[in-house]
Amino acid sequence: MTFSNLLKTALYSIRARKLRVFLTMFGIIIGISSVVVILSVGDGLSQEVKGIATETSSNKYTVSFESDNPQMNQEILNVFTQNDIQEIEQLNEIEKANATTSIGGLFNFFSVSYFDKSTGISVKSYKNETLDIIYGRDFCDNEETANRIVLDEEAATDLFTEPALAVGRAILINNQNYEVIGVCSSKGNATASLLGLTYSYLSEQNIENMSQIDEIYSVDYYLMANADSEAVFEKVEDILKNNHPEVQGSYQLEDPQAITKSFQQIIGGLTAFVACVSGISLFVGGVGVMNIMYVSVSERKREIGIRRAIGATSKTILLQFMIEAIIITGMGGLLGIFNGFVLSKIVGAFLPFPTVITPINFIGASVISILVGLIFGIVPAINASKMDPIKAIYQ
Amino acid sequence: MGHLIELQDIQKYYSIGKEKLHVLKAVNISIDQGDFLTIVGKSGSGKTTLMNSLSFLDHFDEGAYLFKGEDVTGLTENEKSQFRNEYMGFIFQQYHLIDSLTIRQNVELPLLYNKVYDKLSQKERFERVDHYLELVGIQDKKDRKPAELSGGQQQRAAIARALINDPYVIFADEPTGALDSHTGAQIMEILSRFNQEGKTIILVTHDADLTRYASKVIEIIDGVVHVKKGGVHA
Repeated sequence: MTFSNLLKTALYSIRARKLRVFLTMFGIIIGISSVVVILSVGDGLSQEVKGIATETSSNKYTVSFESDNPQMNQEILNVFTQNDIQEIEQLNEIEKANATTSIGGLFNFFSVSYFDKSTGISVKSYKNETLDIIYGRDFCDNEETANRIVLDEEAATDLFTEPALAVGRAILINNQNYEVIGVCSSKGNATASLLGLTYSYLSEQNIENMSQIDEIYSVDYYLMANADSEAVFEKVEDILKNNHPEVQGSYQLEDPQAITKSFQQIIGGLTAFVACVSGISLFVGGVGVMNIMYVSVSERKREIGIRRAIGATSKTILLQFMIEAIIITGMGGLLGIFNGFVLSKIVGAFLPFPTVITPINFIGASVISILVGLIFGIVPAINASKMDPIKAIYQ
Repeated sequence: MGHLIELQDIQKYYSIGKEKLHVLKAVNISIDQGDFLTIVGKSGSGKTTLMNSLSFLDHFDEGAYLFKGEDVTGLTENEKSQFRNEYMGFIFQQYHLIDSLTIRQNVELPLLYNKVYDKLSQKERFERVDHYLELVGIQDKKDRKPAELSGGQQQRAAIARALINDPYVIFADEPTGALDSHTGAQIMEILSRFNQEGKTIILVTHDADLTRYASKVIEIIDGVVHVKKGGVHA
């Protein structure tokens, strides 16, 4: 029998029991669509984090210090000084250097206080974007050097109880006064609010100044284009070792993307886990397919016998039932993907970031649904093909 | 030489638990092209078993099977399937059409399992189907499902299906058993007509009345062949 005829044969017998096939397909549809939705949410989150990370420059490297004696207090050791930073900055290959103010390039944390009240804020530098101002005003041009801040709603509530009262007040950050010119909505940045973080905004100049005051735990430097990062690090290391011959420990180069990567790893791991859990419904769906194929084989014993009598080989019988199972799961898979696509768009509308369906997820879901048909269809199909034509006809 | 089918000393046993049942005892028969062989016997005598052995649906334990002089005793399952498809047609008591397919699709089936005919386009296959449906007189029912047809019409469709690959021999197992005598006679007339056109027919029945269509008659009694009409021994 040619393949197209086999396909037609399978389709005819599926059409003869539409309702039951559809009910069976339902399990597959739910399984595939939930996997698709979960993966699209995970990928969306992962891309959002990546997007934030790439806001920080990719030519940025961080040197940190690891003491041989972990109990020793780094502050006393004073392993980095402003002097070091100036020296590093004088290297030809280095564009600029400054003390690290952020963790892994993602967040800048500061503590702020207003008289006896204090809270923590994470700070972003203002880059001409439109802020979601709810009280007061946005930054104006030529304001870079003035100590001004747009506070986020949460911090403003913490400090002033009523956010509106914050406007015009002076708050203390790192022992410097900053005037609150406005309060921005906490819902502004999707990922930040998802991670429980919202941003207050300062000018870039301010953030840099701030970092020169605090103790220095690590140093960021920005490479010139085409500079060899390892060679430069050796030079930086030499400078630091020369300046601090007394410290016991080593200077280390940190991967600037480390935090982002581990964040993405965590998200990826979580997504995979949840996808596996929802994959259980796919497994249940597969068992459903196996069940209906078993029922179908025993119901159609006579048909199998007739086909064998008029010339079907056991291989064509096997193929016929396999193809039936694969069509059921394959169609279920396609409907599931479509369903999942629509659902993920709906879910995405309620989430603070867009869901993403990658081609790999699309192909993966199709392949999985076909595999489910193969795996759960093969045993009933083998049963059908091994049936003795005599017993099948004269049952 | 010259025989279409020749069975030599066929023995067949059934094992039921520890007991061994000897169902075909030293069967020696030869069937010629154009014969109308009727096998009669009481139920349980082994007549259906003999027919199933002749048609490769069942196997036998000892003996040799020659088809057109060629020894086909040791064919594999796949070869048997192809053999049945190319050289044999089947008619059953309960018609055995596939319910989910139309009459046309049912009759088309043997073409699909044939190595040569499955390469035809569907249009060509349906032309061939329609021709055979016309021969058995139910061309107007081609798009109906089997359940919508009377028993006689279904059996006509089954005959068309048996003939569609132009086989040498048609096996009919109680083809009139589920039909009233008038319809049964019509079916027998059709079979008889194809026999006169040269098709070999092997018919199994317990109805002694049907032997009048036969050129050769054998009766099976407890697994032993007794010749009633015509010479069947080689």
